[in-house]
Amino acid sequence: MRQYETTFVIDPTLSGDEIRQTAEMYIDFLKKGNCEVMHLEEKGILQLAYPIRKKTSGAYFWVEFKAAIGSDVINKMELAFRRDDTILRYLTIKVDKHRAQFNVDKRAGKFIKKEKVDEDASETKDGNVKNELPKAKVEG
Amino acid sequence: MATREDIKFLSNPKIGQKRNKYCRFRRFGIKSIDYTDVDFLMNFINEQGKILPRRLTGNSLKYQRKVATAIKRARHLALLPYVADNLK
Repeated sequence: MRQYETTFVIDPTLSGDEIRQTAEMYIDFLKKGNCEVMHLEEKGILQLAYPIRKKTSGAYFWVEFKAAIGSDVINKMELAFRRDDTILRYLTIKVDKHRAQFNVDKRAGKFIKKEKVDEDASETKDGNVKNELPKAKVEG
Repeated sequence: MATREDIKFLSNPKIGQKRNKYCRFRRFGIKSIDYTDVDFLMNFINEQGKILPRRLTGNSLKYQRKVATAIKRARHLALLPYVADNLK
C-alpha cells in the first residue's frame, strides 16, 4: 500500500448538497477500488487566484488515502475527473514519510497558529521561539 | 583639515556589510512544505508571483526545489496566481 493525497475543486454554482454528493461519489469510487480512505477534509468555498471556466470561486476537498502499488484506481479516478464538468481542478500526489507525518500533526491540531505551520518537523521548544525570527526579517 | 576620524562616518558603514544568509528549512528542521499553505509560500514569491531565486531566499538547493514544486502545485490549484500585479 502506498499513501496518496488528492485535492479537487468542485464548481461552486452547484447547491451545497450537490457538491457534497459529488465529493462522496469519488470517495465511494476510491473505496470500491480497495483503497483505504484515511481522511476527507472539506475546505469550503475559497476564492480562486485566477478565473477557471469563468468561475471565481471553488469548493476545495482534500482526501488522503492508501492504494495498492500498481493499482489502476488513481488513473481511473483522474479519468473520471477529466470527464466530469463540475470538477474545475484536481491534483494527486504521492505522500512521502515527511508529508505523512506533517498531515498527522496537522490533523492533531499542532499548527493552529499560522506561524507554527512552518515548522512541521521540529518539536523542540527552541524551534518555536527561533521560528519567529526569519519571518520578521523577511517582512522588514 | 578633516582628520581621519571625521571622514570615517561620511559614508554609511553598514552599506558594505553582508547579512548572513541561511536556509530556514535546514535551520528549523522543516522537512515538508505544504502546498496549500499560501501565506507561507508568499515568502518565496515576489509581487508578480514569480519564484524568488536562491540567492535572495538563501534556501539550500534541496529545499529550493521543494519550494518551487509546492508553488507550482499551488498555482495549478488556483491557490496562487500564475501572473499577478501587487500580490503583496
